Amino acid sequence: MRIPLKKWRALLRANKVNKIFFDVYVEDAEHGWRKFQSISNTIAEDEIDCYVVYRLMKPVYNWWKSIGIYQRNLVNYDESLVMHGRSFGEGCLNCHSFVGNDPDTMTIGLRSAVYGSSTLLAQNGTVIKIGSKWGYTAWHPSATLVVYSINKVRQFFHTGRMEVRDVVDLDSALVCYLAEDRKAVCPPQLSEKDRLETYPTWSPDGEYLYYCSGPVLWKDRDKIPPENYDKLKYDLRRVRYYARNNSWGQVETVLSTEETGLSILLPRISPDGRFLLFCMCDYGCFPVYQPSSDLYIMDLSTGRYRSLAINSKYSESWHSWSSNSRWIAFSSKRQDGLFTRTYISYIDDNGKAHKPFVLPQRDPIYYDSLLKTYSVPELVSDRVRVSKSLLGRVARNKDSIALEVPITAATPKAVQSEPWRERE
Amino acid sequence: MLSRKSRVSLYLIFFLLCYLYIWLFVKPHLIYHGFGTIILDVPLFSTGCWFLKDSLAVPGGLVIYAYGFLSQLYYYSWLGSLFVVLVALCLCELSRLHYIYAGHPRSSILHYFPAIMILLIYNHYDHPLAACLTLFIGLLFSFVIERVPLHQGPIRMVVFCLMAAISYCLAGAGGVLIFSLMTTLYLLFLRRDWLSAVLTLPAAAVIIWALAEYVFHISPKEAFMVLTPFCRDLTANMRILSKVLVVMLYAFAPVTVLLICLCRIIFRRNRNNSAAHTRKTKSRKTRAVVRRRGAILAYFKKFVLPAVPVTVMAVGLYFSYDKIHRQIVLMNYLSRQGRWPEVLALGKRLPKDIYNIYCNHDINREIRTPFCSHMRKKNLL
Repeated sequence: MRIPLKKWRALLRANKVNKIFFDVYVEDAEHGWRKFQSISNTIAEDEIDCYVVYRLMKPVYNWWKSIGIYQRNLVNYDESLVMHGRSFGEGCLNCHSFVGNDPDTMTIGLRSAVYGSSTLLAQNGTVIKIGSKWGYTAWHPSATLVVYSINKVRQFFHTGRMEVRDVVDLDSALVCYLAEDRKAVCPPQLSEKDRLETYPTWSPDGEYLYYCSGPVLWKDRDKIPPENYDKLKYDLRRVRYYARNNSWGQVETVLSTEETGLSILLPRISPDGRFLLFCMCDYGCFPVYQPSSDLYIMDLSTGRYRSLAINSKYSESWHSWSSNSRWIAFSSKRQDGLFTRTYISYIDDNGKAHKPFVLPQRDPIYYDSLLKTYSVPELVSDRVRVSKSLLGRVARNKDSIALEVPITAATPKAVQSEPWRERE
Repeated sequence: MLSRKSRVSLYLIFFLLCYLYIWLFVKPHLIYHGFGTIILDVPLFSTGCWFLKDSLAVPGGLVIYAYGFLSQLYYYSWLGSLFVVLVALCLCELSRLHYIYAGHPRSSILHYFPAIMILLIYNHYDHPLAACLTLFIGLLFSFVIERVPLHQGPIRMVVFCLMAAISYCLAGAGGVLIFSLMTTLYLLFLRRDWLSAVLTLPAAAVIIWALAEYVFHISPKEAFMVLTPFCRDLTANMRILSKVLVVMLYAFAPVTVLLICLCRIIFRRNRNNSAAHTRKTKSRKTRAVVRRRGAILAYFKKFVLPAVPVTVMAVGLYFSYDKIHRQIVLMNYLSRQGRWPEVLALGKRLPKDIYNIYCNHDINREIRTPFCSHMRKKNLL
């Protein structure tokens, strides 16, 4: 049964804040007609952003193939390709990031055996290739500055548990890219010798950079897995940024592992600046491989945090906020424990998350046969307009903007490694 | 050369023997169970629209989709064999039609060679299905365009471009390569349309480039390799002999058509000259020699020629048979079935200098894992 889209939208428009009920009956020869328990949903008052951009790929164990970044129109079921790995020799596409929820400025990290590792910076229809790979990227709201992580990430396997894949950051640091000057700087606060800094995110006013930082618990930075890898837990920190003179203040710990007992990862602040959404898991830096990973929300005015009621026993991660701070999209493995799917949930004024639902598809059993994972869902206000042909051409282009990263001895060099050891 | 009745009988005998050999000796289920391990090919298939959509998003998508689906038939040896024979038969018949069209009016045995090559590749436990399907589409398209009653060059060229684009979507650059090569040969030798012949291959190249750039968004370098014999995905996992055979399989029809056309031109000239000459000079003695030659030729056609495909196939299978590789594939299958005593027995029969990681793993599982032994004692494995 399909409800016509126009009628469905009219129904939603006319009944905001009201409840909608679904009664489902089935008939079979043995039992006749039976009624399922009624489904009751509340129609949200606030609109969600029109598009969600995500990466679609098969679960990566040893090798990758056919990785693409897609955008989905949330008003209907249209899905279109933003960029595919086959446009540059079946390369790997890493995380995509935007300035807030604006799709006009986007970065995509690339890794290719043929064309090398680089980053594509698409801005207002033009695309440039930067000759170094950016890890987790956070744009300053002014779009003049980008903070990105450089990570020496390695994958390894456990003999037996629910998720046998695991990932460790042997070394990491944060680097700032000044978009106008096209140069990178490495503030000492963000690249401490004995710590691992990752997952940067900006406060909406651009005054604070939040990030995760964990101690280096091993001496040998090449051994995989390193000793005490399962004891590594990340704190949530922040540092003040002074845009006027492009300088950085003192580092503050926002939430420590001593308080939580868990590793704090992937902080994302709502565009209205009220809430900070983050993951916490037993250990490590990669929540999507940790079934213990759950979503938590912190009220930034009080500093209090709590677990969201929408968590499942499987991994929840890769969350993003809508531009009106009322919706979140996140990845969850709740369906089967293996494949991440994009879920959407409404966040009310008090920071309470409401009943999540999987990204709707035209075919209700679409996910049952889909052997792909949805990763890094980013809500954006409009469609990404930059052409995929242009992105592919620039990715294949040999010319790129050379970026000298002033790294210290503590920070990892961006070297090519065995692909299977790197994380998805 | 052969009468219709003889041709059908030969078809029946040849393909029945092929079927029996593949079913009872090669055993396609061994290939099925070796996918992704011993046989590095992994023909994936999934029901649902996303897989179809995904497959069609790349050039040659239909072939890849069909290849994934049809490979699942190998699970049952009888069905897999039937399918392999059907593919070989289709290629055989399509090649015959091409040779007849090219001017070899009663092609008798040449068209069996693609089928023999396919059989030899399977004898090596390689999996040339994607290559066969690509070849089939290329040959089919070129046959169709020759059969369409188009007399004007420009219209024919437009139809060719359309069909090349469809062929690229269905069978990648490999399909377009065969299609455009065959079309060029026919334009050159049969239609004598020199301009179209010169334009055909560049037009095909431009179509591939344009589709790669604006539809499939892949690099031009890759675009020209999809499903060709030089494509990594198609032959990288095959053994050397199979790789050579795949190249030969692709080249066989165009080369044969080229030779037929050249022979036609050369022999027509000679025939014209000798016909004028013999009409004047033929004596009674020469006529007797000609009659004797005719009788020998008739005997050759009736009894020797039909035996050639079967003989070539038998000789080829004998020499390409690799006993050790078969043992390895069989061992892999037995370990999948948990038939450990047979795995061990087979392992003992392997020569000492053979090193195969999967065999080692299978044998280790048998002799080192207490769990396996325990299960076996309890008759649970």
